[in-house]
Amino acid sequence: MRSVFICLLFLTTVSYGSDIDFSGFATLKAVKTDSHTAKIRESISQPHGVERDELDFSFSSLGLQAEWHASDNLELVGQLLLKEQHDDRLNNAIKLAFLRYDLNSNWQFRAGRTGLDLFLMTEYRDIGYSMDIEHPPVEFYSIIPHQNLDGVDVQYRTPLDQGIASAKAYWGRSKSPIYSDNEFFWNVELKSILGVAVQYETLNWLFRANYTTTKAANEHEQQKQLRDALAQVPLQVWPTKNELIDSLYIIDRRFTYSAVSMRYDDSNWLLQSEISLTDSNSSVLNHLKAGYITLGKRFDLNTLSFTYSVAKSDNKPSVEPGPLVPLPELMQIYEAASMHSGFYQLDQHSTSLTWRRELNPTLAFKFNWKHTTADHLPSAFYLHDTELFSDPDLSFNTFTLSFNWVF
Amino acid sequence: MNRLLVAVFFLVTYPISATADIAVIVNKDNPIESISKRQLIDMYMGKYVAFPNGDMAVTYDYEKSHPLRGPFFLALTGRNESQINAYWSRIKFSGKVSPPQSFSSPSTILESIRNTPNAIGYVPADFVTGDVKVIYQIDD
Repeated sequence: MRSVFICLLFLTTVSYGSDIDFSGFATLKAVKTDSHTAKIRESISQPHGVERDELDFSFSSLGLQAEWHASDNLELVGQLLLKEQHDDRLNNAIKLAFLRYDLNSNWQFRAGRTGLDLFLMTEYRDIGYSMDIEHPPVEFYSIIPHQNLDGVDVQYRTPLDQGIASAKAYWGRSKSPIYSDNEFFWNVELKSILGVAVQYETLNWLFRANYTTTKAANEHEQQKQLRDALAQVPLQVWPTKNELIDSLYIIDRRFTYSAVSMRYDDSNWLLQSEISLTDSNSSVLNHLKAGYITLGKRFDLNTLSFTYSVAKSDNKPSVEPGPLVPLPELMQIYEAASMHSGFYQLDQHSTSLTWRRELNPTLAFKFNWKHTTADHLPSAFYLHDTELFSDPDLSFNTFTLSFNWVF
Repeated sequence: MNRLLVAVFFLVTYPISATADIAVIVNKDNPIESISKRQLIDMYMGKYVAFPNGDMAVTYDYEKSHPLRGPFFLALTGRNESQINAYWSRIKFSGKVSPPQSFSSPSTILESIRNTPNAIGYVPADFVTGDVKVIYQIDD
């Protein structure tokens, strides 16, 4: 993918002239929380979380895009997103690097690195200026780190009586980092991604449904080490160890994402909602249901919006019963396995209020207050002050202030 | 020569009234005689960039700060410039569609439409010349 991007940069550089467009977007963001347990973040691919009494600017980002119009039908698009990353920085920074070909006004083909069209806002979740809410709801968007697809997609669209109907199919693979407590880092790779999105859109209304299936392509080294360690334990000492070994094996396990979305925007009122079901044939992730609803009202250059979002999984609080003999070494393995199997144990909801003010036609200021209630911590959404797990605060507030540009 | 330079200067720097009538124009050889408001919205919002006969279109617009852009989109969609820019940032930066090509003045749009058979653009109504075709008019 790096070579594709470098080729694109080369082509756009040598093909100087009016056929190349350069543009971008930027967000300067400050975040503060009153939680003493959770270190707040907006995505599990963020390596850093905001602690209590800390005013943090690390959620800020800068995006740069180049488009080369080779002809009326053919375009090359590249986009770099610069934000805090600790690992595999260049690969993660390349958000788009693809060739777009419009066969005619109905059919469009793209190949290379495109956005992963998983949910309504997945492809533009990093572009603060593009949305009235401060950021996509954490309970809905945070848990899935993948935003890009290395592959191909084909889209068909046609005008109907009142609007435009479209269907899109995509295929490829994706890689994205996950960070968790105790310096856990895993560059999660998905393969055989196959998805379909159908949409109907008028000026004010948008309805959308999506189904995507994929398989895990890699595993974390710790999972392999745990399986190897468990394999050494006699069955008489740990009768359920085989179930545990099985739950720790994730390669080739199938994951599915289903979502329906709607948006209404008549320039005065805004209503947007999505519900999703994420599931797998691995015990690591069972029936993760999520949804949100946003209602907004515009007053001249100001927009006030209210969002309620929720996420709940069917994962059990613990893995299979532990060893019959509670030796310290075995309990250590049990705890580590519990952490892996319980990663997606989620039950959380939040309410938030966002005020957006247009400072000029390309610059907007946003302020957000959010109140979050979690059924337990640790939560995969956040990082944590692990020393305070004995006294977790299951209800906390987060304040976010941002300036959002497009240029 | 001096007259020509004055005329060019006038065309480039002509003060655009925010309330002027706006004419949507195409190349004179374009077979389309008219277009509906909804089709125009679909084209300028990147939803379906084609003429009513199905031919692909190339849309021309103005740079973000141009005074004609806001009134045009407000009359067409009921949305102000900030809302239009926010909408296009969703479409453009997710790589779905390229926004319309942007120009600095009505005269450059007129000139490009004369030379591009499948182009569509908009200019103040009193800018329209005989070598382009008006297919939609937004009245003051």
